[in-house]
Amino acid sequence: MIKKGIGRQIVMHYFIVVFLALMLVEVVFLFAMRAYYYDTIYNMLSSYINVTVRSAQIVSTGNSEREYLNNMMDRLKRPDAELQILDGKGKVLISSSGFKSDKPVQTSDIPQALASGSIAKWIGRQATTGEPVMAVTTTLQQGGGQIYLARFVTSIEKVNQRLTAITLFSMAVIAVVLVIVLIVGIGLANSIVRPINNIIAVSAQMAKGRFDVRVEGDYRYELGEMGSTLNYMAEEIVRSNQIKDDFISSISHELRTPLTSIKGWSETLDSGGYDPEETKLGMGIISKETQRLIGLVEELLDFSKLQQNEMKLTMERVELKDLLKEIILNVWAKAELKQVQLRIEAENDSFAVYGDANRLKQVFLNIVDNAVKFSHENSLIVLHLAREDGWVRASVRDSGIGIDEENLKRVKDRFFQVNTQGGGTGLGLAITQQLVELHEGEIEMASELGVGTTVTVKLPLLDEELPQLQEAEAEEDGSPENAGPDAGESSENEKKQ
Amino acid sequence: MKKYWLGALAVSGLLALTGCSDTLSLPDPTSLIRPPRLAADKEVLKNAIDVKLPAGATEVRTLGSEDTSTIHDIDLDGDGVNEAVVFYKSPDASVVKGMILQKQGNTWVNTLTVDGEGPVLDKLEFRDVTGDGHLDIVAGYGLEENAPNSFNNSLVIYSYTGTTVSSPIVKVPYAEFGVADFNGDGKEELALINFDANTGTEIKVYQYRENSLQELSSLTLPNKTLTSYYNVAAGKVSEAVNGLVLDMTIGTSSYTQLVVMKNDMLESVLGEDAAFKDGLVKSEDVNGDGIIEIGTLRKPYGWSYFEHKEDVPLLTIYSRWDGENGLKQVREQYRDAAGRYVLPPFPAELQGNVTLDTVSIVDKYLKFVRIDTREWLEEVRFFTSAQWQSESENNGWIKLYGTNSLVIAYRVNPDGDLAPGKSGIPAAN
Repeated sequence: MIKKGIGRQIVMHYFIVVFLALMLVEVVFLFAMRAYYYDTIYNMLSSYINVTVRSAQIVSTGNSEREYLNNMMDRLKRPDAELQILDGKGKVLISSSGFKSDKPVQTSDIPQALASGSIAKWIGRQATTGEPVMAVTTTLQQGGGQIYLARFVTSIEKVNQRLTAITLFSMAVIAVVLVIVLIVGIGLANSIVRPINNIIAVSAQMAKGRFDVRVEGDYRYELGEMGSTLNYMAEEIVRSNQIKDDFISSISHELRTPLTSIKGWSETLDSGGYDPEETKLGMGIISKETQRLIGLVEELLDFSKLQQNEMKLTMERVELKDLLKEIILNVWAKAELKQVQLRIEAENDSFAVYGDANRLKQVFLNIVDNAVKFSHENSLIVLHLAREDGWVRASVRDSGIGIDEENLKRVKDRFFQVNTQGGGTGLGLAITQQLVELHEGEIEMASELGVGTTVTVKLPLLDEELPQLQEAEAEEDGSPENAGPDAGESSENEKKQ
Repeated sequence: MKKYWLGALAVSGLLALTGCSDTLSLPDPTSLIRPPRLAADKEVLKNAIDVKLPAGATEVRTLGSEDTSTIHDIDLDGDGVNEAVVFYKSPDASVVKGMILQKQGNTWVNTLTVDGEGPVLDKLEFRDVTGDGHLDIVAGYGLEENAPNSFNNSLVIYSYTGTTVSSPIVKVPYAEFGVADFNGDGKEELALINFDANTGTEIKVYQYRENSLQELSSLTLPNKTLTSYYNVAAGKVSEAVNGLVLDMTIGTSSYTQLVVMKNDMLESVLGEDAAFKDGLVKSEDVNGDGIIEIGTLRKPYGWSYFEHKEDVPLLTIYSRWDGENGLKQVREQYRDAAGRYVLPPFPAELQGNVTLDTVSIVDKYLKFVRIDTREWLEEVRFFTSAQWQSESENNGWIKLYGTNSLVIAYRVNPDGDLAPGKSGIPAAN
């Protein structure tokens, strides 16, 4: 037998469903056959009665009961049935078998025929021989007087044999069909189970750390998808391992550079006899490098918070236009160095959104900073603001080096850097994206190598018609520490943000 | 590879289907029916008879006897094993023939054939007429076809010894006959009744002696107007005396004559008026005591002013011969003139004390009352089926007869003398 598992289940289900369906059909079929055979015989006898008995009754006029019975017997008898003429109590007065019958007939057709005055049927077994018979009984009336019953008894043994043969034959057909179903079912089960077993083996190897194995074989539909997903997963694991390794090396490098500088200067100052000029310069550099380290660590902390969903936002009304102006001021010095011009293009006056001003500032600072970083000298960066169906679109367009298509897909990934030699953690855009998503916004990037990059941030427009409500909400959400008596509820509200 | 295999399977399945196509072809169900089997012993006998019957011959029944079977199973030679007697008629033969089969073990052998006298088997009795201690076949043949109640019949007696069959008496003309021990000598006599339009009914009683029929006595009943003998019964008419009861019709009326033997002489003990009735009643043993009762019809008390006899419901009286020249009533009951129903007989203490209320209308409503107290006893009502549907619930009606348009039912007065438990006779008999 097939061993336990999905294969057996498939075969069993398949088998049971087909079996039940066939059984249902079989039962209906057999009932129909039985009804067809019995009804045909009954109809034949009853139409015979309708034709012959009625006409015989009109023709037959006998004086005595005996003559009448003889007469009716001769007129009505037929070779394929025994004709009995009974009195109203079921006593057999005359029978075409030629024998005397001693016991009165007591089957249900007699009271039925008497009650209805028409034709009644009984199917059962003969008391004497146990033979299955059908009795069709009708009433006879002698000249409007004495009532008799004409009872045609016919053996349906051959009919039953025929029905049994049909039953056996259809059972055999069902058995053959079921065997076919079983074979097809096993085939089907194998076509599912074999790939699954293969995939299980491959994934077991992957679990042990062998990411070089792949699900081989051209499987169809879900199984194929499952295989390729597994393969993709393995590739991704390999790739993210690579990214992680890159990150570690780059972050180590990133940390080492300021530390080397700090160490160098502190040694120089220590050995240099603390010349005030030199000390001032050295301490300045040490302070700047320390600041850089703090920035790096802050970024990592932010990222870690975002990863663990622990980032808390202080929500309030934020005017994006003002925010962008502030940002331009922040990057002014850097832009001046590269001779990059920054310009705000706004279609309206107000682009209010509901969010955390500091975090949004971090978002746009990051984007604009990147834009400045990758811009050519003497180029223009356009900060464009527009409203669009309840959204605010803030796009930052530079005409810098651009990103190729391959890298564009991965640029938002954690630790990814197009150029690993450029320094930085590779977390900036990942953090930016997560912050935008926390604000229920979207971030899109379009870029062409050598032409420039456009980063678009879509944020939900604050509905200015309900400013009070929004402010009230902002107050509540913005200060979780001071929340009302139900701290749990407010922390839940926070999560929704 | 797998596909080929499935294909091979499908092909073999198709082959199997075509191989079984005789099972699949559905014959006309009506071609499968046949008469039911008889009990094993009867089946054996039936088959033996079918083998021995000439081609095309059909078994015949008697026109006049109570026995409606065609195969008569009776011990003729007194060996304790029944013989089978069958009469049959071949399509081309002018007379009925008989056949005697003997049982040996489980088979039927030794067929003896006898020739009849006429084309119709009128009456068949198995009686010891020859007085040899074994039953003889007393067969009466009608000489004309399609002539019931004919006066022209012919009697043959066959005597079967176990190996041969002889016909000691042949071609005795009769209108009716009866077999009984009329003179009380312990042997059965044969009474032959013939009708002569000039003299009337001639009754002769014969005894078989010395290989011939010896006439013991004869009697002539002078009525020449009778139309038929609709019933002739021979048997006990009192505790000790056997007699011959003749029910004779004159137009739509009838009368009964009772003939007994007194001192070896036949005598008619009843006058023609003694058992005259305005209708037909068959004289027979109605109460199962072995004595033949004579049926008469009586106009109920209080109906003498009704002139049309169709309007009068008649009570049926069964009486026994009183041993002299009169009758003694033993049963009184109501029988439907059309034979559709019969009410249970009135209990003995009510006999002669029951009449019908004159509100009764024949074929509509009958109400039976006591003559002395006028208390109603039972009623019969004719319902249409619609009326019956609404009436039948719990009104005490008991259905007597039903067709799809008519229901006849009766009920007993629960406080009357016919109520169950009062007269000792159950209401629905």
